[in-house]
Amino acid sequence: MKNITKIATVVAVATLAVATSAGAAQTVSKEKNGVTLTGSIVVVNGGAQPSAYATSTTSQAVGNIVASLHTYYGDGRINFGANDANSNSTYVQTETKTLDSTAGHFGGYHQFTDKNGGFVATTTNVYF
Amino acid sequence: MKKVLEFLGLVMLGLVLGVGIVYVKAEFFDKPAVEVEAPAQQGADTVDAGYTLALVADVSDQFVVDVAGQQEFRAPVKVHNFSGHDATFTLLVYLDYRQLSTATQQFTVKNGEELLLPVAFSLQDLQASAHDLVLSLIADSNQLTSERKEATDFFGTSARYTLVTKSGVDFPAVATPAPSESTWDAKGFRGVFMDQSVQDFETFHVPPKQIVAKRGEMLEFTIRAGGDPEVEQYLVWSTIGWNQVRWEDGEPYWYAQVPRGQFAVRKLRVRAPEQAGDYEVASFITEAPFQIPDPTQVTRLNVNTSFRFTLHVE
Repeated sequence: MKNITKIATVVAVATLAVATSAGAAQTVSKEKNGVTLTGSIVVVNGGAQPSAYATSTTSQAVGNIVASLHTYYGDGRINFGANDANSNSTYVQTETKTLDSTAGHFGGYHQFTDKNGGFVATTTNVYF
Repeated sequence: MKKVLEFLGLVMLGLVLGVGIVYVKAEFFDKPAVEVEAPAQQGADTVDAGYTLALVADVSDQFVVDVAGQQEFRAPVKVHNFSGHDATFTLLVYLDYRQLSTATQQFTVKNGEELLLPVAFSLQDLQASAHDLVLSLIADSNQLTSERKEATDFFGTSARYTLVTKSGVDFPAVATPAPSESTWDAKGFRGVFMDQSVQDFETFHVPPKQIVAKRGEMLEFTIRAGGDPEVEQYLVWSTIGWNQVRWEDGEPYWYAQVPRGQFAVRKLRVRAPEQAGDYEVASFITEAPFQIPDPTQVTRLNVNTSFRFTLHVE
């Protein structure tokens, strides 16, 4: 086997290994209130410009679900621009937002509203 | 055979390299994602938190409670603390968005526990119509933001119900909302934001943990409110020391008409307390305030808060 072929083989396999591992997401926070309510931030990329989205999940459909992702930059600026909501549902997910550096954090805000369960609010934070 | 073994060796080398790259990236460059799994290392502000607030009563799908024929509202409120720590709470009660000071209660709930809290107030002076009831649960109400690591806009939860004093009635005609002279595209902002900015309202910064004032000094806050792409009417109120304050027009709230998807700005001018000390300051907002909420209009059921911060009065 020629050297160039050997190098190409190693690079190809290494690239494939990195690619299949990079999509791994990190999820935080889960709480219970009758049904299981889970508010999460999913970090999809933790590099120099971390990206994440927020999800709110329930084990059974509840009246309303709201998920918001607030992006807090290192200089104190806030981007509130990721919200989503649903009624009589079990899942809602915000769009992905990206920090411009690792000096900042994501705040996930999750509201579960149901006439039986009441008004449930949770928060999750991921700091960089 | 030799070539096959050589190829397999190269594949193994590639796998080791690839997994190694991912390991080094996760271990040394993506460190915070790992720390999320161990929030105790992060301090109080990073621990995931949660609260539940619910009226224990016969509540309809539209969050309506029928109190026809009753002289007094009396029902327990369930509070569940799963913030990760024992906490002191204050429950604020608003009827038609006016605080019932006599109904304010302070209490403690241990982490992971629930508490049933009796809430009662008179219904005698209410006209036969629908009335808004807001229960606002303030977590760590005895703590000062000035002593925390940073300001936060997550400090409890609120519940909005409609009390109906006569079956089948709706809200009476109320004052029309004030039109907004200056508005900005919300660009994702939704809710209420309170600070002392005087310009560049399109940019949001975490407010300082503390502001300082003299006793009785006139203070000026900037309130930004709105942002829902489907809603034009909002109601905003503010508290100092968890007591509702009045706006310059004498009203205890700002009933605002804001174009959809935009936010409006209004100055709140209010005197600092005459007694020296530390007071927590915050604002609250609800949407489409004088309507029985449509339960499918998700965000209209909720009450959102601004960041809270400490007013230190010298």
